[in-house]
This record gives sequence, structure tokens and C-alpha cells, in this order.
Amino acid sequence: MKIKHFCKRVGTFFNKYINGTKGAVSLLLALVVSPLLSTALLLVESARYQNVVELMEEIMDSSAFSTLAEFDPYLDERFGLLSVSQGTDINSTFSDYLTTNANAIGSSVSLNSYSASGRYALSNTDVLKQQLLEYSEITVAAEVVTEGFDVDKLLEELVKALELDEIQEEIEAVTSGVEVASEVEKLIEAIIDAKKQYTDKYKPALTAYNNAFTTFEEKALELIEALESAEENIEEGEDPESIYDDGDVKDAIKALKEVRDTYKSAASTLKSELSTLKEHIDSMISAVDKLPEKLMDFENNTSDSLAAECTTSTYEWLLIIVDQIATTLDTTIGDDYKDKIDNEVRALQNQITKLGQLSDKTITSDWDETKINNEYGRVSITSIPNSFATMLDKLISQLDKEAAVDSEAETQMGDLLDIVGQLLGISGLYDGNLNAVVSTAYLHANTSMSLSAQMSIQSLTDLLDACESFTDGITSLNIIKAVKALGTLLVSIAEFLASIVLWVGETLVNLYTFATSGPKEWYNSLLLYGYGAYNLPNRTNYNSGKTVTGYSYDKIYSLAGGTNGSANITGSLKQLSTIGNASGSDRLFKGAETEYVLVGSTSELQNQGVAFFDLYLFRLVLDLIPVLKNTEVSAISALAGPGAWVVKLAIALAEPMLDCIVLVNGGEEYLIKQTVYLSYSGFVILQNDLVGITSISSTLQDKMKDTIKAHNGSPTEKGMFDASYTEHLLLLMMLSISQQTFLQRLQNLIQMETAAKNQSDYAFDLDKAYTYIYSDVGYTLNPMLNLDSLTSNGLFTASSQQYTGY
Amino acid sequence: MKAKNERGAVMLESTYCILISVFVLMFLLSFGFFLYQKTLVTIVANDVAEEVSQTYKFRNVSDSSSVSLSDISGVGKYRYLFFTDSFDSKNEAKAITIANARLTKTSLAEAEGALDVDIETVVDDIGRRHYEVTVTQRYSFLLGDFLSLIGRTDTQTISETVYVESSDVLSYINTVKVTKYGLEKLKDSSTLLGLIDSAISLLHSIFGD
Repeated sequence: MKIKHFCKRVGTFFNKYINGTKGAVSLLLALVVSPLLSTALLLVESARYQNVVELMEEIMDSSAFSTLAEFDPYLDERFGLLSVSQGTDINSTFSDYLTTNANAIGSSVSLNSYSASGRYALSNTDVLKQQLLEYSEITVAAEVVTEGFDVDKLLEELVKALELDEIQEEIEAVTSGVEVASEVEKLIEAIIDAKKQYTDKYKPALTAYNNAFTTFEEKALELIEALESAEENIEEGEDPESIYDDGDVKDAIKALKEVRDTYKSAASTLKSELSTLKEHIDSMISAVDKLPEKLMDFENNTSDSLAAECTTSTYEWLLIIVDQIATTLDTTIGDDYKDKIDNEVRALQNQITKLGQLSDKTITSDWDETKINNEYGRVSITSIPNSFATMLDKLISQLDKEAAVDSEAETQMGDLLDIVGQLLGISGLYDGNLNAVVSTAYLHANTSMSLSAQMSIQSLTDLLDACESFTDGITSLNIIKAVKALGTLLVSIAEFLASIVLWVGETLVNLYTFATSGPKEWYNSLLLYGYGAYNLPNRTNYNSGKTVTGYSYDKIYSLAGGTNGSANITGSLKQLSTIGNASGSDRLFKGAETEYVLVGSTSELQNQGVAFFDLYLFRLVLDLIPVLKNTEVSAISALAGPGAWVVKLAIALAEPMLDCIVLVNGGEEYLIKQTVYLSYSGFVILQNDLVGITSISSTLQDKMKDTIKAHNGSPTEKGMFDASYTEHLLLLMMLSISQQTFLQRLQNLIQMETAAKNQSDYAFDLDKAYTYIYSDVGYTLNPMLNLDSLTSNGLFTASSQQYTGY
Repeated sequence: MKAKNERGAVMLESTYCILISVFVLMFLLSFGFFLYQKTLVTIVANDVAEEVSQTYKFRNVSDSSSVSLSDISGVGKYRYLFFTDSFDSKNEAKAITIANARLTKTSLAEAEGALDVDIETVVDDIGRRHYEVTVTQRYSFLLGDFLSLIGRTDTQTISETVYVESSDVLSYINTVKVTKYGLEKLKDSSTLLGLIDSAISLLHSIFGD
């Protein structure tokens, strides 16, 4: 009934308001189509929603990207680094771009919140390192390639050159030479002591002994005479022993006993001095017997060493000395001296005993002179010839002559040492124009200095002093002085070589890391440190050089207040210790920035000075083996005989100094030399390299040429890896400072330069040199059908965060 | 001739109309699903391309909302010279993750098979490059049989390719610098190039950039 009643009511409704069934189809269609249309609209709205979310991402990205476009132009142009300029506010710039871009999508979205801030500043060394590597990956690699560096081969050659096995062997060779020289010195001292013993002790004792016997003999004869007189005066039947009661006899006995004591004492003294003399002779003979074998060992052990001709000349020189001594001792004393002296000492002892037993009645009236001589006569000393002292004097005199070199060698050695002294005093330590002293207040971070503390200039001068002493010894006709000086020289050489090994171990700390970690790490470091070398000015290019991308270094010089662009090279190595790490007020360095990265002092002069010293030691290590192995240098040194060491060392010390002078004046040197400047054929190359360099005078050049007897001509310079001062600094940085220290010092340079450049606009702070922008945006999506309470929350609100960087 | 009785005609007509209308609407609905999905794939492709552009050099970064210091220091060298394949494959994996997340939440069609994202790096000029990002997915649509009316099957492969400019600023700037460096080197070693460079510099100074 209820259903029937309902249908009736519906029918009445239709009849009354819808005019029967007219329009029913439309109504039906509307009911059917509405859900379908709703679904379609929902799909459209959903797609729109997705699209707006995507658009907002793009708008944020675009806005952040536009904000990044406000980069610091100086950092880009000067250092090749990108960071957001500190002259603009990141948040406001981003906000402006965001709101403007958001308008482009109409009312689809309403921004609720938005902010942007900087992230990952260049003060973070990881961030800086990544940008540097990206900057350097092509440019530095190309620079290295165009300089002709085969990276793998360079590492291999450097490891070989700095491995120092050969220098270690040389130290052992020199040390064994020290032992031999010490033995020869002891031998010569034994000769002198023996001669002194003979002259001062033995000879006077012998004379006293002879004189004492003469007196003893006289008194004995007087006693015999007194006994004979007493016997003549004795009466018959009187006791014959009563003669000893005779006054004259008593006096004679008393006198004889007195001289007997003197004679006995003299015999005792002679015996003692003879024994002592024998000990001295034993020492000499023992040393002479042992030395040839030791010398042979020394020669055998060092014949393959780097300075074989030096050790050979030392060996030959010492062998001549030892042979001379052996021959003299053999002819003077003979092989049987021991037995002879022992017999003589024994005879003296017997005589002393016998004299001790001499009583009042030992000598009787029937004794005569012959009997006295037979019983108490002098022991004949034939073991030591009377010419002993003369022979030793002659030997020492001969040795003095043998030890001496000829005047030509003497001149050569003296001149070479003088040349080294002059070279060490040559101006080259720093460029006086680059004299900034930076205030630590302008640095980003303080880093400790890197000083070559392990090896001071003193060790060089000590070695030179030892060379001079040796030269003095072998030219002053004094064998003792010469041999002693040789010992001192060899000790100095060993210490010097050891200090080089120590310097390499302590300073070139990264070498072994590269050797073990392989070419990849080596290559990474090459790019990083290469950035420092090819994008920072140094003393040789501050007024004419530029970065790999063309930024002129003279702009930095001007920015720092430099006024005179011409080089002003001055200061000698000896002045290094006088340059301190003073504090100053300058804002930035004028041009020795690579040196700062290497050394880390706030004084630009000190940075240059220490870098120069490091360069000298580096070249010394690199040149040492080529110099010692060079056949022309060996030929030059061989002319000096025992002074070969002096010549080679002088050249070994002078060669790196010449390299440094050439390098700091803008020249180039082979890292691994095959042609040595101070050689017959190499000097012409030196003359060419020194053209335009005034610090080495023509007088000094002429002296060098004359001293080494250089040949004329135009030989080709030989070597591997031609490198400028810049490239030497690159290698020194790579080998001696850590990446962290390198990056921190580079940050200091960036901070100082950029702050100085922008000082009139804003205070640059590396901590705010952001390379990324972090943006955070909250927004509401506006649907086509906006139902306020329903669509302002939930799915329709969204937020997005982004890191956008260079 | 006048029909004696029109009763039921409306019902009959409405039956035809409704059937036809429903049929048409069903077709439109299925076509709407198809268009929606196609639009969605395009949007997702754009989204993926955007992320790829921003984070291409970070091989281990999932999206631009989380870039850490280790990501920056791990960017590496020679990414467009020697390691393009490695960067492309890493970014494709990243793109698939992003696209999957968005498509799974918003799709109105059933995915058939795995999503594929292909990224190609295209060099436009010295230092300039863009990425060609193609998102491909096969879908089975609701009421997909109706699509046969327009010659399509009920499962469709939707593939959208979008293009985005590289945002790797450092790479671009450094490449330009390298080019400048190379030209400087050539200029230094060639008198003729040096003269040309001087002439260009003169023209620049006269007429401006």
C-alpha cells in the first residue's frame, strides 16, 4: 500500500509540475551525465594539480638559478671560482624572482612562505677543492702537457732522484773513508810519538847510561888500585881481609857503590825508555801491517760509489803515505827489532840485577878493565839505529811533500771554493718590490709556517769550512794537518749527505705517499697544486704573468699598492736568517703568492727567502747525483788528486746555486740534468743562460770558466723535464705541503684579495661566499572550484625544498 | 496515418538515446583516462628532467632537496669527457625512482611492465648541453576496450620525451674558460691568430661588446 501510495504521489507530482512525462529524458540524461562529467572534471583538476606542483618546482629552480647568476665577478675572473655575490641579499633576490615567476601561472597557486639562504661556502676546504679541481681538470693538465711533462715518467724520475739510495750508499762509503783516514792519522801520530820518545826520552837515557858506566868503570879501577896498594902494605901473617879496613879502600868502595847506584838507575831508565820506544814502534808496525788491507777494503767498497774517483784518489793518496812509512820502517828497524829489543831489555835487566848484587868484596885486586867490562860493561843497544830520529824526520818531511798537491791543483781548489763562497753570497734571495707584511687580521685562518728547519745554511758553511781546511792541509806541506783535515772533511761530507737525506724525509713528505698511492692520487694533486702554480703570481711573473684564463698579475700588484713593476732581485742566502716573520698592516701580498702557499709566513720577503732556500736544497738533491756521476766533472776533479773531494763538492754546491739564479731570473732548468754547468762543455750553456742576469758578474763568470778550463763551442743542453721557477714551486708544493694546508693558505689569499678588491662596497667574508642556495617554499594550490574551508588545507597545501648550486 | 497509440515511444526513444549516450560517454571516459595518463606522464617527465638537470653531476643524490657536503666533494672530474655513460646510467636510476614514486601515487591506469627512463646528453655548443629525457610506460586503461573505436588497443605505451637545459654551471663556465685558455695558447704560438685577436680586441674597444 505504501508503494502504491508513493507511486500515486509521484504521478500527481509529474502531472502537476512536469507536464506528464515531457522532459523525462533530459532529466534522465542529466542524472546519468553528471557523475560522468564530475569524473572528467576530477581528472582535469588532478592533472592541473600535478602540473602546478611541477610548475612550482620549475619556478623555484628558475628563481634560485637566477639568484645564482648574481655571482661575485672578481672571484670568477681572478680565481675561476663561483660564489654568490655578497653585495646582494640572497633571500630578497630569490623572493623577488619567485613572486614574479609565480605570477606567470596566474591564480593557480598562492605562496604562503618562501625563504632562501646560502650554503656550502668556499671557506669549506672540500667545497673549494672541488671547484679547484673542476677549474684545473683541463687547464692545468694542458699546461703540464704543453710543458712536456709526462706525468707518470715525472713521478718515476722524481722518486728515483729523491729515493736517495745512492746517497745512502755514498754516506756509507764516506764513513768507511773516515775510519781509514783516522787509522792513517793514528799511524802518523805514532811515528811522531816514536820520534819524540826516541829524541826526548830514549836518547838521553842512553847517553846517561853510557856516562854512568864510564864513571862506574873509573871508580872500579880506583878500587882495584886501592886494593893493590893495600895488599902491598899488608904485613906477613896479617889477615888478608884486613885490606878492607884500609881507609883508601873503604873510600874507594864507598865511591864505587855511589856510582853503581847511578849506573844501575841509568840502566833501569834506559830499559824503561827502550820498552816504551818498542811499544811505539809496535803501534806503527801494527798500523802499517793492517792499513793496506783496510785501504783495499775501502777501495773495493767504494769503487762503485757515486764519487768513485774521489774515493780512489783518497785511497791512492793514503796508500802512497802508508807505503812510504812501511818502507822506511822496514829499512830503519827491520823485521827482527822485537827480538833484538827484547834481548837488550833482558840484558839490561840482568845487568841491573847484577849491579844490585855488587858487594864490597866483589871486585878484587886481580880485576882489570877487561874484567870490569865483561862483568858490568854496557849492554850494547843495536836494535835502534842511531839514525832512527833522522830517518823519521826524513820520513815525515817526505810525507809532507807526498801529501801536498801541485800548485795548479791548489789554485783550482782555492778558486772553486772562492767561487762557491761568492755564489752563496750572490743576490737572489728575494725581489725587493715584493715586501708586503700582512696583518693576521686579514687572513681567513692562521696556518703554521713551513720552514726547512732540518737543514740550516750553517751545514753548508760547515762543509765549505771543512773543504777549506782540507785544501789548506794538502797545500801547507803538513801531513798531519792534511790527514786530519781529510778526516774532518769526510765527516762533514757524511753529515752533509745525511742532512740532505733527512731534509728529503722531513720536507718532501708527500713523495712517498705518491709513490705508494699511485698515479691517480699523484694526478689529483698535480691538478690541485697546479692551480696554485699557474693561477697565483710568484716573484718571477708578478709584473708580466697572468692566470691560465688571462687575469693579469700586475693588477694584484697594483691592488696591493705596488708602484714599481721592474724586478729588484736582491738579498743573499746568508741573509736568510735575518728575515723574520714580522707582523704588519698590509691587506694583501704584492706578488709572491705562490711562495706564501709554500711557506706560510706573513712576511713576503721571508716567503721568498725560505722558498729560495727550499729551491736551492731541492736543486741540490736533484743535481747531486748528476754532478757526482758526470764524467767531465770527474775529469776536472781528478786533476786535484787528493783534493778531488773538494772539487766535486764545490761543483755540487755551486751547480744548484747557479740553477736557482737562472730560475729566479725567469730561466728554465732541467729537473733531471745530464749536462752540468760547471763542466768542460756545460759552461757555454751557463753563459747563454746568464745573458741578462747581472747578479753574476762577468769577472766571476770568467773565473769559473778559467777554473774549470771550459771549452768553447755550442753544445746541446741535455736533461729531462725543462721546468721554470713556477714549475719548481709546483713540485715543491706537491712534495712538501699537505692538501689541507695548501687549501687553507689559498683561502687566505682569496680572502685577502677579494676583501681588498671590494673594500669600498662591502666587507667580503669567505665564510659567506656561498656556492649553493637552499630554498624553502610553502604554497597553496587554488582549485577551479574554491571551497574555502575544504581546499585551504590537506592535499592542496604543499611545500618544497631545493639545493641549487653552481 | 496517425498512430493510434504513442505510449512507450518515449521509453523506447530514451532507451536508444541512453544507450548511445552512455556508450559515447563511456568512450569519452576511457579516452579521458588515456589523455589524463598521457598528461601525467608528460608532467612526470618534466619533473624528472628538472631533477636531472639540477642534480646530474651528483650521482648519489636522489633529488635536489638533499645535497650534502660529501655529494659536492664527490662530484669528480671529467664527467662529460670520460664518464658520460656512468653519469647517464646513475641519473636514469635516479629518474626511475622519482618517476615511479609520482606515477604510483597519481596514475589512473594500471601499469604493465617496468617503467623506463632514458636520458641522453646532447651537446649544443661549446660547454652547453641539454638532456633529452624520455619516460616510457605501458598502461592498461579502465574501459580501454572503447579505445578500439579509434583504432587503439586497451593497453597503450605512453612515451613522452622532454628536453631540459643543463644546470651544471661550473662545467659550462669552466669549459668556456678552457676554450679561452686554448685560444690564448694558440694566439701565443701563432702570429696570425695573435693579429686576429688584436683586431677583435680593437673592434671590441671601438664598438663595445
